[in-house]
Amino acid sequence: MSKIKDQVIAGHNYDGIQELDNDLPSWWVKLFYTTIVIAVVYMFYYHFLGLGLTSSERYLKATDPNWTKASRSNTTFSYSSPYSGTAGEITPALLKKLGGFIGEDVPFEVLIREAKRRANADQLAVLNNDFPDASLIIAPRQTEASASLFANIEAFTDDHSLAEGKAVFAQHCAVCHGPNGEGKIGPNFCDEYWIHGGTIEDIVRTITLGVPAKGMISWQSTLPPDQILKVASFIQTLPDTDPPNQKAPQGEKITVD
Amino acid sequence: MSVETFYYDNKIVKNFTYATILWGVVGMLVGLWIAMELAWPELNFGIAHITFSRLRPLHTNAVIFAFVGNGFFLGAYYSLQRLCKTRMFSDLLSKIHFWGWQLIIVSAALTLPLGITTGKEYAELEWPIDIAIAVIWVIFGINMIGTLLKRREKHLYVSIWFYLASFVAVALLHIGNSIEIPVSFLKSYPVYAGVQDALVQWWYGHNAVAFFLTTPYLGLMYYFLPKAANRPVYSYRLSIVHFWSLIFIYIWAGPHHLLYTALPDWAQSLGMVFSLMLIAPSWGGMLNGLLTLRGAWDRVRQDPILKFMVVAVTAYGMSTFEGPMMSIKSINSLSHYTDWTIAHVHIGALGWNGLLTFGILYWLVPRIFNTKLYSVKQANTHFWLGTLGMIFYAIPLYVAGITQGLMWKQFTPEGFLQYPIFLETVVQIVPMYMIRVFGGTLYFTGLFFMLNNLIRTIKSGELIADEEAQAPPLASAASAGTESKHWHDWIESRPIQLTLLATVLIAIGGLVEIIPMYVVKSNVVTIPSVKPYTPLELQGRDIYVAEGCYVCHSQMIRPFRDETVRYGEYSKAGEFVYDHPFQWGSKRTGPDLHRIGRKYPDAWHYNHMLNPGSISPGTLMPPFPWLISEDLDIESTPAKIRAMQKLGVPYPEGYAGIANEDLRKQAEAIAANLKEQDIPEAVWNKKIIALIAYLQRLGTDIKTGF
Repeated sequence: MSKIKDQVIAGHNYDGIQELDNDLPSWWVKLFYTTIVIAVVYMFYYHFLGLGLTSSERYLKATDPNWTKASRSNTTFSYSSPYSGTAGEITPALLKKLGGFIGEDVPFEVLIREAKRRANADQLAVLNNDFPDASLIIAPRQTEASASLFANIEAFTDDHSLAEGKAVFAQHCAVCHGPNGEGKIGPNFCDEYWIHGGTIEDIVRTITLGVPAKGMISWQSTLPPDQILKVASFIQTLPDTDPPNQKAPQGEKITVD
Repeated sequence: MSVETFYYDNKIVKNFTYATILWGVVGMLVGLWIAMELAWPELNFGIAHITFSRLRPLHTNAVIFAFVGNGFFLGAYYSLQRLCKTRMFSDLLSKIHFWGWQLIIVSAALTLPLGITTGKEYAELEWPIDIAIAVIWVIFGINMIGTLLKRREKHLYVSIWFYLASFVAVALLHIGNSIEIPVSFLKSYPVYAGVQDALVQWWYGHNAVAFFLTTPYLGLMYYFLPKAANRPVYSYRLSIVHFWSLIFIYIWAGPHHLLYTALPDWAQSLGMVFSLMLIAPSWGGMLNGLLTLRGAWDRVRQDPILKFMVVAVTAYGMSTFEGPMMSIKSINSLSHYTDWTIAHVHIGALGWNGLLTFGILYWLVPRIFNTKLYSVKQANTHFWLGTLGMIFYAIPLYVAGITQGLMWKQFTPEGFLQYPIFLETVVQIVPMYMIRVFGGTLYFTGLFFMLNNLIRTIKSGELIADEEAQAPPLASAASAGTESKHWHDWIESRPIQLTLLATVLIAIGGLVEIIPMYVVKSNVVTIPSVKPYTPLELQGRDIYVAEGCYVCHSQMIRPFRDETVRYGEYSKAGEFVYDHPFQWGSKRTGPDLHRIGRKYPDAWHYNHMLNPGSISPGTLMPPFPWLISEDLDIESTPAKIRAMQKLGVPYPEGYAGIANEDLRKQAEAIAANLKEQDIPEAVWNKKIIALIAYLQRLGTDIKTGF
């Protein structure tokens, strides 16, 4: 037990500073021992006995609910990612694992689209082959403008979709293009001038691929295709509005019906 | 009994006192300035030398090595003489130490804004300055140990244990971390690369906190607090136990700066558990300080000196509890890379180091000038400005850090990141940065109250340059029969043995962690597709280092779902084997850059460096227009390639001679590419081209899933 005796130690006088012979506070000693025990147990559990998961194993588990420690085989340094196997392939089995990754309530189609959206061209070919449902076929991820991909897109006209598009606009686009689309760093949408084309196909393409050299980022890994279409449809309604503080027109005058 | 008369050297104490105050003002002014730059980035006015990334290392170096360093020396020179009952070993060494140290600080203040840096945090100074630091530090050590050897007091008081351990540890750390190959007079590459460099760097970096900011100041606390309170130290036994456990355990904790990085798990875990075991030894110091004040609390209410000391020791206790908590992996996964860390270190720096220094100054200056403090009231005002400044500094940053950390991790129910655009999480915390500036201003204002108070105090008195004292010589003191039979008596009356034992204990932790990183192959798995940088990329990397990009950008993606979705595949140890120095960073004021390569076109980077705000409105990144106008120094390429070859980077033999041909080819291709992308003014031999080459290479060596 610790005692506070406040006994000055004889002979301990350093430039007038004396020292007392008090015991260490007992709670302090207990705290010290506790942390030592925790340290030893931790090292044994995670390392000497190897019972706990390493950080890369925990990552695999977080991205794959079916992953178990039994299945681990030198996973520490493998290049697994949630979207592909060790060889970079995307398989139906892996897609199933993706369920846990994206969230349990996510419909199967969204899951597949998500995987496809993130896949490279080769993986996409495999996926399109494994999941040939027409509505799920996705064209290879584009890095260059390719008009054909964005052909035959129909703009939304219903109020509900346009309202959704407006919400997306407010969240993501308003920073650069102004809350009313009047233009800030990005161009004005409320005039009839378009730099990269004003048809619905053009707008969807610009949003999807971006114009990275000029600062417009690609949104294909951020927004699902239907949201891109909705916000593009909303943007198409903007030339009919006339908000204050509009940026000077840029690009060519195109009147879109 | 024969009594000898001798004189304490107060002039050296006075010199270090002035230096402490001067560098305190400079270091904190730079800190305040860069805090404003973070809130209002246009404040760099497009000038390279005052850009955040170049000034931030100046701020940290000035505060740590200039302000706290001189503070330690002033207290050590004052207390050591009195605790040993002797004058310093050599007045000449004292002088060399003082002027040498100030010269080092001035050279740091000149080189860092010029972009002359090694790119290793808190060890940014280049090799000639590193050598000067080592020499001056050893001179300080010789002077200190020489003083101990001619002491008139048999036992070494606990303050001196801490001074000795600090001397030994800083020497080991500084020399160990600064082993580098010079490329030219002001450029070098560290011998360590990637994971090893990271481990050595944070072995150093963490223990710079331990043995430069903590143990020297514990030594000062053990002298000045009992002196100011006029109370005996609470527990001698606690001093013994917490001293030895602190210096042994502290050194192991470095890897807690690298949790969830590519550092092997076992080393991370050692860093974490040793950090946890540090709570009690650290608190030992706090307890001995606070409990020494038992019976003097009524005086704390009146005496601003004691107030400074109490809040300093309390801040020490808070940050040494918080530190271990932040070292717990799951907490660290949220706190790391955020402003939480900045708040944490400022509780230590503003609270523990700052306030303790101020307390000591108010106590010591009137004594060496043989007068009274000019105004107790002004000292009280300073105390409140300092304490409130610290609070207004730290709290907004805690809010900012936790907010941003949570935003980075937030997913929508559909599995998308809630805040996929990094900038959204930055804009959110800018108001906190503004409040932080307010806190910093309060703290800084306090300095002027001190300055005025001390100047008037000094003017009212006169320096006792050589203070007379008397004591019996050591031999007769020993025979006086005051021996108590404590087991610790043996070591504490033998300075050499104590120094050696401390050295062994301090060395163990570092050796156990660092050696396996070299000898055990599986710690850094070789990846065949990882190749050395091209000459242009290497030059670009050196620009990245010189501009201090690592100050705001990490290059280390942790194995978390949110990070792999945001940035790409998590970083692997084998990807960094040619990185001399490593550039993992420790703070994400901007996004991680490890997989930035090929993410954007060259023109994006060009426009972004010229004016980041044109691409990311609201960004805190300052413009770097000089990269576009300044020429790339290709003369240095052969020497750089040769240095890299010496370090084991497998460039073909004789490559140094032809490297510039490859460099030019790659640079011209990038310039041509830029011209195609609407930038007709692009020229191949500008710095921006090399930087783009490096950025486009980053993280592209391994094939990832998508």
